[in-house]
Amino acid sequence: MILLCLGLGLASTGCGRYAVRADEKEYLADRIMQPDYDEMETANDQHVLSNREGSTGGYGASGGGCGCN
Amino acid sequence: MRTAAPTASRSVRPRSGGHGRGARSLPRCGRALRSAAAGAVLAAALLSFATRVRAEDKVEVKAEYFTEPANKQALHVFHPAVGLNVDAHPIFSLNFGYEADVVTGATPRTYGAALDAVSSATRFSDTRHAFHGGAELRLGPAAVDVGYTYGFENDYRSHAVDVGAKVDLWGKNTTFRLGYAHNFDSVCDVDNKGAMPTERRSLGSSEGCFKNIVGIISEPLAIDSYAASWTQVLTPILLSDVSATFQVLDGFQSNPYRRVRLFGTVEAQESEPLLRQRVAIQARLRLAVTRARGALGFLGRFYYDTWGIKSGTAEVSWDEWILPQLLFRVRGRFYQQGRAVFYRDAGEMLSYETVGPVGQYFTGDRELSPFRDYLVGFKAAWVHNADERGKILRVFEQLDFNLKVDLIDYQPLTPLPPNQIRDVGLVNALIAELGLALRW
Repeated sequence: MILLCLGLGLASTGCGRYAVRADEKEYLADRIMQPDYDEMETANDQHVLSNREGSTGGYGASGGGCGCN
Repeated sequence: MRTAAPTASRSVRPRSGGHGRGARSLPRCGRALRSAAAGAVLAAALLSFATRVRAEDKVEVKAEYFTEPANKQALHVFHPAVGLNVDAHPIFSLNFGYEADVVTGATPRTYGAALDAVSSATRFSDTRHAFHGGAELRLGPAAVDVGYTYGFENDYRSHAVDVGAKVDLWGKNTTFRLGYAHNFDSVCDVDNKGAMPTERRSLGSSEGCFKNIVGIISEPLAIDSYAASWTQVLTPILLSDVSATFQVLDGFQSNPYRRVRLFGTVEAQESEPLLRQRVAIQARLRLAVTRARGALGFLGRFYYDTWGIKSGTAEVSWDEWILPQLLFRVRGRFYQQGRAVFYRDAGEMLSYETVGPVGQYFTGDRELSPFRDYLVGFKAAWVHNADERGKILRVFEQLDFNLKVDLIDYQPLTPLPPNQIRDVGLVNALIAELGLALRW
């Protein structure tokens, strides 16, 4: 799991081939490209799971980053 | 793939309580509630200050039902929530929210031998309410956000404030966020001042809580939550998100109702450390699959706290527009955690009943036992946008109606953890949710 987190983290740091231009963000603008496109559902999930599991936190924020507007 | 679909905006935010805290009898609360409170405020802090690249007017309603349908120890939670976001000015938004947890069920009063775990299950019920208000100010590529949440139930009070900031950089390919939240919480308890841990009595019911009655006190709990997040556009079809949170809980974190059997004969109120520090790191990737009009999602999370809990989470999801207006999602999630350093299992040789506490600590909380769980979930959303024929009902730009179902299988990693009866069978928990969002 640590390796998975590190791998995903490293992938975030420098894999971009170049700055993605606004006119290249057609797909990024789709709601399904946002990790938490239904934030109320995400909040409910966290609410339920943090009550059943011993851990919490680490949640990311949805939206942003895509530069789609 | 659809393009330029409106982004989701903030939902109901801080949660100041949890499902588990019941009232008149014996709730399954304690740290569950604190976890929910802290985690929810933390999530709220994250979600609140950074998510709306473009604010929008929206009202959203959801009704969620959660159940663990175990025989004699079933748990049912109905969770309605409503959120409203209004752009008061092009750079200034206000948001309001309300949510509740209506909890009914049964759980053993004492953690100990297997026979008692079944025979002594006590029914409980309670309702938690939480109200939230917040504001966001957007200044160019940056935004700041503040919020306040008040939550209450029969045996718990919570005041939570959160503040955050975010900035979009480099052509909006990079977004950084920072957030902070603080809870001022109070937990109802029996006045056990001066008593040894093994002599402490448990709370019988929530009658008398917060009413200045002799023998019933209010225990403080302060929670500080810090969060940082980084979202990065990697390619035109690949997005990543890395988040880290740090949390300090200082105060009463035991379940005031729960008892643990010690040395075979003694029953004392659960005793947990007053201080807990938690760290979590999460990374996510979203990959657009353009031919299928879909997106693959990957999530990995690592968690560690000073009570000795280590956990890992992995999730894979697939979202696809199977019709221009119909979005379908399937996901699978795996979670596993180790035990707290002071957790002893009633089915093991070194149980509390045979050898007593670990130092001064002992717990009957399932969340502190080692276990894993699997989740499989499905969701469908009907998204109808206004078109050239006009707005929906002459008012709305978009209507989003959605339904989801999640199934969870718990697998304990010790012989007799608390609420073990809830782990029997293939499907141990079900989550069903209906939602409606209207944007204008």
